[in-house]
Amino acid sequence: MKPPAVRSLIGALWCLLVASSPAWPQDASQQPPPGQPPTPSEQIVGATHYDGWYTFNGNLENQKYSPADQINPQNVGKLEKAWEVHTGDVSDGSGKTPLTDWSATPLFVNDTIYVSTPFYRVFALAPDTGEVKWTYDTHAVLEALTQPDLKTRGVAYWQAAAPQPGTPCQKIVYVGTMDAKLHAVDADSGKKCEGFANGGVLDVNQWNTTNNKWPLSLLQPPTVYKDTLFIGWAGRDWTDAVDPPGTVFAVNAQTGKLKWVFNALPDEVVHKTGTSNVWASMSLDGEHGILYLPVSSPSPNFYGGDRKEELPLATSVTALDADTGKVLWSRQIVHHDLWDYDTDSPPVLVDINKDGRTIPALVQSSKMGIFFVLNRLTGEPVYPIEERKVPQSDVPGEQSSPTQPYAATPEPTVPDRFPGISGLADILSFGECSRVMKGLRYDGRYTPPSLQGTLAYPSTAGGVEWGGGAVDPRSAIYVVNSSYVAQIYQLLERRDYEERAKNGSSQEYFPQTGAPYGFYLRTFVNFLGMPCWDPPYGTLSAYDLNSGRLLWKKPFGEVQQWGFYMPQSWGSVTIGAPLITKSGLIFIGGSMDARVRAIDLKSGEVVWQALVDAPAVANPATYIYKGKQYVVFVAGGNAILKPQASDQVAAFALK
Amino acid sequence: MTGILPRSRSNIGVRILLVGAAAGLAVAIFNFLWRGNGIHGTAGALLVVISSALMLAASCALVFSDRIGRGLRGTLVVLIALDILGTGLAAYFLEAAWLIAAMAVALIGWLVHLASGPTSRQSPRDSMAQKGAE
Repeated sequence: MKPPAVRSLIGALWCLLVASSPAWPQDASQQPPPGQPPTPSEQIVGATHYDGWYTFNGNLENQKYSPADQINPQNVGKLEKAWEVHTGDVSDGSGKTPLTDWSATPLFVNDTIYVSTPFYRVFALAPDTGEVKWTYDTHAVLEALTQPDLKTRGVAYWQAAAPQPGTPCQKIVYVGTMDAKLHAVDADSGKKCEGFANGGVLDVNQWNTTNNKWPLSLLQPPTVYKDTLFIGWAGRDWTDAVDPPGTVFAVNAQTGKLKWVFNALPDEVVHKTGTSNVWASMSLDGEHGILYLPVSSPSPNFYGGDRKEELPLATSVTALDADTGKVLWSRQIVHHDLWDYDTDSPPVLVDINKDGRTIPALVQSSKMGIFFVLNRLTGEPVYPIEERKVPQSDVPGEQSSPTQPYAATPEPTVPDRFPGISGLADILSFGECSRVMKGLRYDGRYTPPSLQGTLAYPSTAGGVEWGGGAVDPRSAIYVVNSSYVAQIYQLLERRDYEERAKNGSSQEYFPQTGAPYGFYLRTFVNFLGMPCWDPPYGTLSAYDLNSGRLLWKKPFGEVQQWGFYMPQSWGSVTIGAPLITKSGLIFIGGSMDARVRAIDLKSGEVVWQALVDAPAVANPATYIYKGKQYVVFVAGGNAILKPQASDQVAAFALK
Repeated sequence: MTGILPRSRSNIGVRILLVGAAAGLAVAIFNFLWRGNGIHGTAGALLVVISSALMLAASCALVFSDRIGRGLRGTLVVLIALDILGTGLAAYFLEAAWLIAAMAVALIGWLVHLASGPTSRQSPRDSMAQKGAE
């Protein structure tokens, strides 16, 4: 569309110059074509099909796949906005209320759209008009108790195996708050389910008894399987060396009674570390009753000298028996994590055909842009994982891991080497980028944080973020969006830290209180705010999991600064995830330019796009209601992309 | 205008330029204020409001002022050209198609004005003075 090289140059110049449940049948019109194979989700709930979007990831396998095919590559150009709703729950952070980051996947189930807001209210909407059926207010404290902004990633839904008409709370919507209150709400009436926990509210913080420094924030909706809720939590990053240790709670969906607790860290080390929590969503193999956890990194995130013990479940994908919480297997994807490379997305579960065999597999994406394809029953690699020698730390007291796991197949989405200094950014900043680069340590992937300053590429900003990928289970084609962000990591001796942090930005200095070093982190940009590294900054890729082959990889989205769109070849840093439909379309928001797009699964070409009010970082959802397919996006924005927040839910359908 | 200006190609060119600048300003203001375009309220959108306004003012000066000398007129013509190109480029990066179209119109006007001979590019004052001499 635009000559990239010329556009890149003149563009930047000009800019600068001018300044489990519910898969039961609903009505006959929604029945899938005869002979359509049931998905694992259907087997879980014993239903014949599903046409909704009943979990955060569409189904428990985290496939983000819909059998809906009414909207296809031929007619998607006629997609129009069917309805939109503004919840009113938005803040730009200029007043007392913190900025809102809204990443809630809207659920379609029980003939209703359910979505939570960053003010921790729940909206129940009519799926064809967006009319508000009811709202529920948790009356949560609107303070950034752990995360810097008010956040929610949505609600969870549970339904009794045989709901009794007229009996309340046979269908329940759950919403969590930043201070760890899990509210259970009747899905039909919007009234609190008094029989759940303490008058309808479960205080998860009651179990925050070790190293309690902040409340456990319930920003990610629980995972629902049969009559159990699996609850992970988010905390406050980078402020303390010792934090609450990572736990996952399994509770009864109707009563809130605790069933079991999973601890990611060994008891003997919890007094000197913490986190390794599960803040992203989980996936579940219902056939085998296995729960998969993306376990994050331990605290302090950037210095491990005081936690040299083996922490085998930290920064791992870990499989639990869903009934008991017992660890079945675990695979660590980063040893002795010093980069905050949290396992930040749930694995995608899919059966793949390799060498004439069907393998029950999972794909674990990562902030490093590496994909680990494992047998999901055993944890063994489907494609080889090697232990590669990596650069070693020169920080006094630190002892970095000599090797790190690396999978060459599928091809990592982030290249192994830093792409180089952007000539344009360097020239326009009078050589600032190359000057800074000269002073940094960079020896490739896994260069550890250092006292002199380290170039981290990829960095904690990803790679693949919390949305993870999507897969078409029929073809095992896996689609994933990815960011390419270089950051500067520097450990500072305590005295230096205190001195520098006094006059520095709280966005760049993090105390790691209790560790011998504070931490300085910033994205590697010049004084004009231009990235100092060569684009692209974000891509969308498709892989054939049966062969491990990369099918296509395209720059995705557009960077927007001061209103100006940068060349498409640059792509955009991206948050959120795609979904795939049976008709061969990918729907995704996730880019800085506040556009939502449909992309042809075969070619990777954009075949439709529309503007929404803010970056649609939430995972989209699609559903069929009364014979019509809708695609719904929550456009709430995310401060990581740009300071633009909104309260818009927008659904699109064919005319 | 027709009463003031001689009927020449230059006159037509300046009129086209004026139309382009006015349309550009209208579109730029609309883009800045209307929420549904992805650029409303941005610094970039404001910039093209200002540059379009300046273009309109300079075009008006070309049309209406009979007191500016050749030097100043020549400077105005050059500045208008830069303004058209700059605003057009900004519109391109703002992905503001109607503003690009308006700048294309302004550019055509500017080219017509430029293509007209030096005699016809003279100011009304020069022109009237010339008539008087005849």
